[in-house]
Amino acid sequence: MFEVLRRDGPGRITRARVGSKTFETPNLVFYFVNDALPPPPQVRLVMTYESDMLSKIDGRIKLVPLMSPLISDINEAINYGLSLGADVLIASSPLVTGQRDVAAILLEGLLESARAIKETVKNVPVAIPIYYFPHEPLRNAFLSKVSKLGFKFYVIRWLEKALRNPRDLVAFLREINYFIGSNALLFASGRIPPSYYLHLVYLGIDLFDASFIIDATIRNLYFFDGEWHPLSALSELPCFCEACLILRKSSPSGDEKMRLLLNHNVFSALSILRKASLLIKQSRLRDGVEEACHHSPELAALLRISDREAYQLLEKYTPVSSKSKVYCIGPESYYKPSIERFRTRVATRYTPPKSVAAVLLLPCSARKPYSSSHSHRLFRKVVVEAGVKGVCEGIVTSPLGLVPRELEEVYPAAHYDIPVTGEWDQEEIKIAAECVANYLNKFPDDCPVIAHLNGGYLQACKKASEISGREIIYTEVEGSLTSPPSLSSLKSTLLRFSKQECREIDHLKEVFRKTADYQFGLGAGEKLSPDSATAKTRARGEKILYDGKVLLAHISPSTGFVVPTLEGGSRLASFSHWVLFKGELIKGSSVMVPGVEDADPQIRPGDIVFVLDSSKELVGIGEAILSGEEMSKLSRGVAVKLKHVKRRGE
Amino acid sequence: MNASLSRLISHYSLKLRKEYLPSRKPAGHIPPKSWIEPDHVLGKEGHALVVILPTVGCYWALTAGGCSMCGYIYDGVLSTPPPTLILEYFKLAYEKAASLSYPMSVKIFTSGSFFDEREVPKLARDEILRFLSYETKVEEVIVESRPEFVTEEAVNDAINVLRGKRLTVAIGLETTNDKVRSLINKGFSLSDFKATLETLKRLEAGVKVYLLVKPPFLRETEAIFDVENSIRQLSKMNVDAISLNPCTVHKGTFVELLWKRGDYRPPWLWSLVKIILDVHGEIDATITCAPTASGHPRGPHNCGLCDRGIDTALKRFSVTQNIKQLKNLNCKCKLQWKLYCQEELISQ
Ligand code: SF4
Ligand SMILES: [Zn+2]
Ligand SMILES: [Zn+2]
Repeated sequence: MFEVLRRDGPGRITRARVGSKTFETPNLVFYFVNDALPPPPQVRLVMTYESDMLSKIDGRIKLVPLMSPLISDINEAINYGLSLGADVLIASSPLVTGQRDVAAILLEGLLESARAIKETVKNVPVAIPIYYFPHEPLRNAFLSKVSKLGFKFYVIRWLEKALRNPRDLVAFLREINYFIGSNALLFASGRIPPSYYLHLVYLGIDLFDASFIIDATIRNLYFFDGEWHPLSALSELPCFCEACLILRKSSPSGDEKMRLLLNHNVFSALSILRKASLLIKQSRLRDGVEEACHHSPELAALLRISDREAYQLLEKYTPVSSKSKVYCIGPESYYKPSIERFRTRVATRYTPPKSVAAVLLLPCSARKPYSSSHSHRLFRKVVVEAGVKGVCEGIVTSPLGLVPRELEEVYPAAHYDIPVTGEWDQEEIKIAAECVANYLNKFPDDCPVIAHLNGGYLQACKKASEISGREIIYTEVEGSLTSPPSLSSLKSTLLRFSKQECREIDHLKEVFRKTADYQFGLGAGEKLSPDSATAKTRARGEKILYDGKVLLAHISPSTGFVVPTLEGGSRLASFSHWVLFKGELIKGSSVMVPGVEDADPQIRPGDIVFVLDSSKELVGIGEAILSGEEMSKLSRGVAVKLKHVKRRGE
Repeated sequence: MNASLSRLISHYSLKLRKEYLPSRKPAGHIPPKSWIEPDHVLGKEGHALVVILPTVGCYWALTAGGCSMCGYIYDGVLSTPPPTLILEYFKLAYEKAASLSYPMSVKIFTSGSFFDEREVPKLARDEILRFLSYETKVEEVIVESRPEFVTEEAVNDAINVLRGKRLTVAIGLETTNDKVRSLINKGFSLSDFKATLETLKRLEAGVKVYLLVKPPFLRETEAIFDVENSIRQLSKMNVDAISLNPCTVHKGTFVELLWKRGDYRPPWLWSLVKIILDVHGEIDATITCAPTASGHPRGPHNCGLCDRGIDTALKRFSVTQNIKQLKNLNCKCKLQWKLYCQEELISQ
């Protein structure tokens, strides 16, 4: 009933179809309670059970809750709901209690009704309730059973109780994803403050109800910029929406005033969800969530706990690249999934080139890629002048930790932005030290390590030396790292380690290899680029890899990723990142979800993937729009946008 | 589901009874509670004397845990006093009626069943009724009983002793829906009630039915639906009066267990008003609603500002049967109530 149009982490934009109507998420479900509080024009989804209310909301999506099985027989309830013109039915159970043994029985009853509904209702989507219980085994038992029924729409109840316990909230959402995956819409019902919307969208919630907003409106509260103000306390309205313009101009009273206040409040809450959509489209939802952290300690705690305890969930759906910059402003950015993923991949997938004379640790620069910066050009010059071959460079930075020179153009290394002050906090030092230590341990024990660093970089490096037990030779820094005495100390230090037997490293070829390893897993680089291959930079800066006359790959200037040609891809196709296509030949420029038989669960949105036909022949190369899990589980939408396609006869 | 659930509820109730019952007072220690209240007496405005006899209490609560919302058993005493003492108590309580004039009714409550001889020995029952049969201003005597004790013989005896005064038997049916009632752990069915009703009608006794507004496991909207449905059905069965009893949270009950967890909220007073407004005019039976503990978190309540006014209006309506008492009531919280009714359906 729905397709995922875009995603950014577990957060996503979907388009759902119910009958002839459609709606997009993230979105708000309005409760039509009373004529004094009619659904504002921007509202697309309305829930009510009263027939006279329902007749007033034509054209919108009607959600109708079924009566409790205690009150009415299930078939009667369904027929009643359908007679009201329901677009979505919401299944019911007797009022549930948190008392465990009682709840367990009630949930069994709910499952029973769910099964009966599955049998009876065919044409109208049904939403099944799932409850947040503070007791994990109870909720998991239910989730595992209900997930087998294959519903595509769930109402999460009592989530507001979990807001008080962020650790449990995160655990619960992780469990929902584990059991239900992403092939269902998640509607969080209950009084959830709009200030939580961005976070909860980021964690995978698609729909919210308006009860919090309606209640606040009845209490004469005005929502602005994340906070609720008594309307009477505002001498001037800070908003210029349509409702506020009228409120300001004609100062109405009674029902009219309440209606306008409602319109403003719903409009403002919807704006947050619109913002979420926009951020998802720009792959910047995470930034929005980080920014919102500054509004409340609860939100900051929620994000910290999500990063710590739901990394796998967040990472699974976080695109591997993005067109926009990665902002790392404060501590809430240190464990961003895109950053953590970079650190993990460098730690597990990076291997140094074969013959290395020395490792040189350098500081990062504000300008990216680093090698285009003034300071790095000076460092480069010194290395060249010293004439030492086989120097392998690693750039110490925060919060990426350590960026091998070969990966400096790969997302997010060339795309992150931090306030470069040289002052590091303890957390940053710890993160970088671990990354540097791990990097150094990849080199042979007798390979000398030279550090040309100061400030926080130096602190991190000293700590790394402690952790790894590697001895590090520090250059003598006077003033800045680029001052003449500092640079000459760098030069003389390098000269001490000049090795005759070392050859110059073929840097560009290493870039292809290390990037392929980074993207597809250790070993991919060797397969794609054997010794016989050559890398070069063509006119206009295009970097290509070829073997004899055959073009194997180029590097995407925006993401820094290796994009193989069909020839290059055939060397990697069965290695990883495969998408098994149901047909033989691909028509058009994309692979749709229904055409996917199976896909490598390692695939992340934005990954370069290899499309194989049923006989495992490579038929296309493209960019993943969804994660591998979604490609095999969802029922609609675009899975892969193709860059190269094998045509008939090729 | 229902069977295993009511078993569990009964198990919890028994456990609670075991915990709370021993603290009851020995027989003879408490004088009967009694008070006077305005009442609708056989079509006329008048007063009622309410007397609560200290008996051993409802056997259903003692042996099966009893109904999930009922804590009346804790008002009882450890054993039933001798008949002479009960009569003495009753006469003492009746002195309060000295100031009342015709017409009045007498409501004799026992925290159980008036016709269960373990609670009220036959001798005491007869003597109390005989005493009342000589009181000219008394028009109606109302007693409560579970259906299983409303036998032809017991009712006949009572009617005979009362010598023409109206006997009304009030039965706590709570709802006409057997599924809902089974989750109250009521222990009898609609057909049990119907049989009793038939007996009472045949012997020309009055029948009053108690309906429980918002039993556990029902949401506000569902509770309203359930009560309205029950009223309509009962009206067709020709019961004389229906008393709406909004559920209150008694100490030592299963409902209190839910309430303490935050999983149960007693009904809104608005719901009571709505029910009466909805069914009024459709039915012949008298409808009364005299909530206890209104405005209290344990009782039916609204926002706190309007509770007292609405409680009064409901009580005035009960006495006068004048629907105007319930029209044009208003408060800001009426919208909150509407919202609550609706959101509870989706979010609870
Ligand atoms: S409600 Fe009546 S039957 Fe039920 S336990 Fe109480 S006194 Fe006994
Ligand atoms: Zn506005
Ligand atoms: Zn009020």
